[in-house]
Amino acid sequence: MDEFAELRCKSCGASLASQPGATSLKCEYCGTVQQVIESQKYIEQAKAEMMAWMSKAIPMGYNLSQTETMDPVARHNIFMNNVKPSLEASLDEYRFGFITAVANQLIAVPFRTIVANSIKHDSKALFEFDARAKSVSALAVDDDSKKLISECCTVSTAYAMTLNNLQLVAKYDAERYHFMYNNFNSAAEALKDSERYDVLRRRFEALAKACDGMTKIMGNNSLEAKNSLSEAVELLGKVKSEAYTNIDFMSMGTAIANEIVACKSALEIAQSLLNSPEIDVTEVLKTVKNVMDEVDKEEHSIGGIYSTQMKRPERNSDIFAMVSMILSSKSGEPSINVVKGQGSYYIPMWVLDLKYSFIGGSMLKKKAVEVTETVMVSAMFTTEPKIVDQPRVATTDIFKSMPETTMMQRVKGNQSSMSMGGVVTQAYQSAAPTAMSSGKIIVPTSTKQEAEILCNAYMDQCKSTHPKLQMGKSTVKALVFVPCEINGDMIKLSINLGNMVPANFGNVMTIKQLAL
Amino acid sequence: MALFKSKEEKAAAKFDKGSDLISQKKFGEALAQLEKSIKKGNASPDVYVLKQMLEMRGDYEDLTVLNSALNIFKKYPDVTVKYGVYDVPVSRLIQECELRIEANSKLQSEESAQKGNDLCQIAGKYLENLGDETLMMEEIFSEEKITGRQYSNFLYARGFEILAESTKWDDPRKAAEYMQSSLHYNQLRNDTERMQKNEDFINGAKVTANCWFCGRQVSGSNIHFVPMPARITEPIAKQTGNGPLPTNDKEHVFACRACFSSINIQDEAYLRIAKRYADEEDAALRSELIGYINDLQRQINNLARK
Repeated sequence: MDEFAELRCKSCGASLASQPGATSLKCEYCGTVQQVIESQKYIEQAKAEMMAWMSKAIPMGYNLSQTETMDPVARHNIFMNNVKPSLEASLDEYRFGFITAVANQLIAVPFRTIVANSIKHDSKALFEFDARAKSVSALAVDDDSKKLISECCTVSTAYAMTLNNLQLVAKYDAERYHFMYNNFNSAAEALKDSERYDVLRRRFEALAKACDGMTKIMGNNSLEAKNSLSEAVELLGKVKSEAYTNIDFMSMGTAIANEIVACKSALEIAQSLLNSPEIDVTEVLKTVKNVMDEVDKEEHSIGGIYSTQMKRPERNSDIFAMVSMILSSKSGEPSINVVKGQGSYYIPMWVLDLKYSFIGGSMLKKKAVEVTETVMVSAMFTTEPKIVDQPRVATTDIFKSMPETTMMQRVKGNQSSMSMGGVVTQAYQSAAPTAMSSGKIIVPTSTKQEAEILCNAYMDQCKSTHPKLQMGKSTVKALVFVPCEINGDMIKLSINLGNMVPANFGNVMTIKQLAL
Repeated sequence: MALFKSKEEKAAAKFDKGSDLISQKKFGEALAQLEKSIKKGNASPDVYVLKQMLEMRGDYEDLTVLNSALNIFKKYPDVTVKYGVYDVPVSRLIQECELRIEANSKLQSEESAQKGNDLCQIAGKYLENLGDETLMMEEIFSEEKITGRQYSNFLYARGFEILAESTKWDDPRKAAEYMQSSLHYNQLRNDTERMQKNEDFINGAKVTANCWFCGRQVSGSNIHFVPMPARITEPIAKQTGNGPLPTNDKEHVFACRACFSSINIQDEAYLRIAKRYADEEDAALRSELIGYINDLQRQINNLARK
């Protein structure tokens, strides 16, 4: 019963570091604060359950405390006939659960949460299993039996720590990276003698480094955070390559790739904070949290043609890269393109090249005409789910009016375009790299991939009203910030886009919260 | 100005007409124009690449089509052609053709653990090389947007599923692990039908039971052990002991594949003996009946003669 001699967490079952005289303790693995008396109560309950298990597993009349003096053959027989079947069945179950658990992404960027798939066990049961295995270790005489006990302890401890982390990653808490760091380190320690789980051990070590980096970001130590995170990215990269060539751990590959992206996103934050030492870190982190909350909401609310893009892990790092650019600009570096004009706010818009073809002329004069136009799309369109189904309202609608042509031109096929985007091109051409020390710059919540999908959907929508339109392909060429004023729920651009001003830029309340 | 166009000019005009028809989405007519352009002596890489693209567009999953297209594309790796509004680098077509040939030839091969393993490796290549880029062949030939990551998820799901199926006889636990990985990728793909199949397999494969007859502990429901109908009385049901249950209700017992097959084989042997006995009895009865009928017939004939 030595395994339950120390205090254990009532919530996760991990050991609690006891402090003489303290009446309450905080678990260093899951963060639960508990009274010492509650922990003691849990220990008593766990001991009783273990006694019940042992009385079922070990034949009547044998006393485990006297195993040292017991005949090894008798010990071996008890182990093989009474203990091993039960241990093996549980180990099989837990090993399976462990492999399933580590196929999940185990770390998230600051302020984001991840809900794991297919988790069926809890860490408390695993720590109890670990204690059971240790309690019967004296019965293991031969190498195979000792190996079984060792694997039971290895898998249960590492799995329990992994489950703790999956709990922590599923809810946002400022302190979570500290506890996750402890869990990853303990899990790596538990696996250190196991050749079979070597890849996983190195993944845990890398993730511990990543957690260290994320803790430092939250503690405003961006330089050290950058070092830890860079190291984590490098280590995870190596582990990923190995996982992809090891069929037993191949299912971890995608999760590790996502973890690398999470670390790179955190690196972007660290870099942003380094770029702008004079900026109020608390204020920046508050906006970053708002951005991440919005990104999280969009991931769950926007589906359809966007669903793959919204779940793309690189989406976070792309958005963080834009935050970094904005902060650099605020620190005096001309890192963002700003359209000429004055405004209290600067709203981001994607600029795209829209290539399309249409059939001009008639009869023998029928021919295809190819046109390249400039289109602008509100980079905040994902904040308003209804825009997703009406792409036209978030774009500068270049097909709203058509260039004037004569009947003869139309018959001969001398039309050069079906759209009028000249004013949009002019606005784009006025944009220049700018350092923005004043004005509120809004952080984009869409990435260029989503902008291209929106623009293609816009093109498809236009095809239904303009049957002559044939092929269409859009490519993002820039992100520009357009000066504007926000009054109530109205956004008024300070530049002239004629009748092509998007009808809806996104959810104005949300947009205001995302300004830096 | 010359009165008649030269051969080169005619070839160029046909090529331009072909390109124009592609933009109008009249692909059949475009192909005819490009073929005419070649006949008129156009030997430019663009005309061969475009012709090949038009020829493969309806059938770009077919291995023969892909291979012949690849042979053409490989001659012009540095060229970028204009296909309607798309600028298509031939190097990208080569990359996609090579990956597609690898994937399709594997998908069509016989089921084996090696096939599953190979599909997972190819999935890794899609993810690594194309990632979130849209597959160009899908985009221009089918107007569908499928990214390298999406296709990679499909290959991973299929690869792990095949690995699970081919491992289940040797190691059902491992098979359940592989199927769990397949489930993970099907979840990413939102393929609910395959997810259900994955879950059913996992629920069966990872279950462990003790054989009612020999007591062996075996994993894999309907793989290494099977439930057999039985009548179990209450006192017997209570004697389950440690470890996995030898039965899951009072109407079935679990039998390991060895015991189950042994019972089945013995059962079949008894059936054969019983059948032989029945056949012999049948033959004896038949000959007795024939004799009786013949006798009756004789009696009838005698009566008729009188």
